[in-house]
Amino acid sequence: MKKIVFVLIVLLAVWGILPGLLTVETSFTSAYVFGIPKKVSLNNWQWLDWERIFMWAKNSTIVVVPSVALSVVVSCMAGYGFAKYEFPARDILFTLFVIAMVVPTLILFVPRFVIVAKMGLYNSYVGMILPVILNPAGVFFARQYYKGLGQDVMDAARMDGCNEWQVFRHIILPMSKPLITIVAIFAFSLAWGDLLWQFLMARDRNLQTMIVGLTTILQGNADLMDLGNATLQGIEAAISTLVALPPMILFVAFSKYFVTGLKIQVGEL
Amino acid sequence: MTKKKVQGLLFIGPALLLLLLFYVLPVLVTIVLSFFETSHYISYTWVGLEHYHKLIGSGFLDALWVSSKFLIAMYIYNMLISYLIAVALHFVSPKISVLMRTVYYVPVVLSGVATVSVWRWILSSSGIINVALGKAGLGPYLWLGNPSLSAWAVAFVMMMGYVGGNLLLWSAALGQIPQDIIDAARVDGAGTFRLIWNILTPLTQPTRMYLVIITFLGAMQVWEHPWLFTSGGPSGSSTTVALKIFNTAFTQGKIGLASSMTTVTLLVSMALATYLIRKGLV
Repeated sequence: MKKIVFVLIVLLAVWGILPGLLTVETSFTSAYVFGIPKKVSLNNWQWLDWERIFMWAKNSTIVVVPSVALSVVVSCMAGYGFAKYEFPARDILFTLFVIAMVVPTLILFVPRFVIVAKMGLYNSYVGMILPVILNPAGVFFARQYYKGLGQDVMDAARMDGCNEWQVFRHIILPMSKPLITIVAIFAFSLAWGDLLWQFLMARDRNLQTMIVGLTTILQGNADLMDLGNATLQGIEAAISTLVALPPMILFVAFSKYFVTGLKIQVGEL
Repeated sequence: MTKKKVQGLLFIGPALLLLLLFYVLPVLVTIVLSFFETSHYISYTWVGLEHYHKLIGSGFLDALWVSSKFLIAMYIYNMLISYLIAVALHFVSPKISVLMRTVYYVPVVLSGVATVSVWRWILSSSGIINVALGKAGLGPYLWLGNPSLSAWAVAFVMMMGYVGGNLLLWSAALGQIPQDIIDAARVDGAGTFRLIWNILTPLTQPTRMYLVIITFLGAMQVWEHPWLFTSGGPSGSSTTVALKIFNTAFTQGKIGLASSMTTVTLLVSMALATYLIRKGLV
């Protein structure tokens, strides 16, 4: 019985990574087979429209990097403010952030679209970035993190003549590396995979991000590049591999933090 | 106000501004828009409750039902299966357990658009599943082309994107149960089933609670997979609430009607989430 259970668990794990493996494999085969590759081939990679892919990658970078940076700064500042300061309506305001955590955010895309369009930011990078900066859960973690931090470091810094911003910038932030890493990973995943919003915001082709670009190909909406010796599935697989690569690299480099970040979520709720 | 109070407000200022702009304001805007007929975001005409009356004939209720199917599927696929795996891994050596949890997390990182192309093949009439079933003399089934299967099939595709994350949470919860409780139960002659049902399951209640709510919110936001795999079809059988709102707003251009759908979905999900949290019974 024990053995059967274990075999089932291993099989399910293999099933889980299979689509990823098949995607990479297909990108390196010349025929559309999905199976044991008969011959490794670089056809698909050679016939990619690299110019367009670099444009998507550039757009993704322009959107994702500021989203992550701002998300980290905004979450850490707010968490610190809630944890270490007294001000009117503090608890009510914090409750608002907690409520925001149980809002199914995705379905707010219609009013958000109207608001961003009214701000004149439709079809712009800023329009793609602004709504993903705030992650209420990030504010929540940050507050928990700073609550556990002693008061004496801050007081010592104040004695040395630091103002409140300097205390935060030079004392608190350097002590926040685990928190920053976790918030940054969350922010990256949200911004990199933000298909719906980036799709809605990019009217112009030259604003499309990696994920939107891949989607246009999957839906047959891209006026496709000359396929040459490649196959459509091969091209799809190659671009899919590129889309999967950055999150994968991040996971390999920071897997410890992925786990901690998740554990914090339940621990605190 | 003292200087220190102002400084506290300054620290939360940016977050608060974004909260008002992209959470609070959208909720208000969607409620207001649901009472108006709009044309290209330029002219707005008051129509009262008309959109809410129209909801019944608009296919919105069908979409709610499809989303409920996703919810049921996700509770089974994502929550129950990940719990069973976590329990099993709790009794193997830590090294193997960590390795398995890492492997299970890979599809979480990769889920979404990047594997759509391969999944289309896996589910096709000549894909692995149908080939395997064919060997057993079954099928082939058109998983995505059959109205009574499409929602379950798309939920199945999404499954491995959640199991790994849930598994980590369950494992963390199980890890906090003192070993002597488990040993004592064993000494008292509890079999595996009783151990799971009477000891492990009650003691992981907070995690279960959290996952019930998170999974519920996740199900309300299913959009990407049905959009990419079936466009919500055939005949609306995989059109979730989010996809319905998307089509109504951006394909048909009915912003007012879409807003009434958003309002109802928000109310329903907020009410259910609050109920679940208050009850704490799950």
